[in-house]
Amino acid sequence: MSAEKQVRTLMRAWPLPDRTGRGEEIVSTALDLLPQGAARLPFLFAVNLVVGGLRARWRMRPPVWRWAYYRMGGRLPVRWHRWVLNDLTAPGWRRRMMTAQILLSGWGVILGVSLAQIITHQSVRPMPS
Amino acid sequence: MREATFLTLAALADQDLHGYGIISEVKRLSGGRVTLGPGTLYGTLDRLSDQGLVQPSGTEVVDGRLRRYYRITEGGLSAVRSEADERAATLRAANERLVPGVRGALA
Repeated sequence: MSAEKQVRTLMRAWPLPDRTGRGEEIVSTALDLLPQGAARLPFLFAVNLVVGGLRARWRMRPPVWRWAYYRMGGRLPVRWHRWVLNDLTAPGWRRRMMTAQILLSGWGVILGVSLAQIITHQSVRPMPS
Repeated sequence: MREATFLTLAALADQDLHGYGIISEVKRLSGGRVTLGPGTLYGTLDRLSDQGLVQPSGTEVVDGRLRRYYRITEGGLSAVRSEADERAATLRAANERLVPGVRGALA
């Protein structure tokens, strides 16, 4: 596999909007940095490229409560448009939505029952003798 | 401010540069001590763009490779000036303690 193919393979670590928007730019810079005729990517160079992609994914994530709201069908502000785009175009969107909805509903039920128990317990105190 | 961020802003202070140009200039400015990888560079440029400290200024294709140029903003210039002043003050303070004979005089 040529160095260019290796770089393009590792670019899969980057979120889709980055790959479509400026993937070619990142690939060009990476190839400029490699020695002429390099057949393999240096190990640390490859790690840097992958870690950069994972960090880009992490940076564009919304906070947990916004994530939960979105998964339950809510609308996110435009700031997280890139994350939504990445989520929507990556395989398994329906599965992710359904799994999150089941888990969040489960947590909602547990939270509701716990709150009800606390309130009931506080209101049914024994009468002072 | 992290060193990679400071050096990236300093590299862009007087000229627009593309990714490879920024990496080369950072290496030159740091005397070969700091070599940014592509992952680090584009992460840094993302953060600086989000903060409004740099912005893309143009695109060209050279030998079939896409190059996007980045330009520092007024906010970026202020940030790098302020950081450079702070670092210079720290270095001055450290150097004052390293003057020969000071330790002997204190003893």
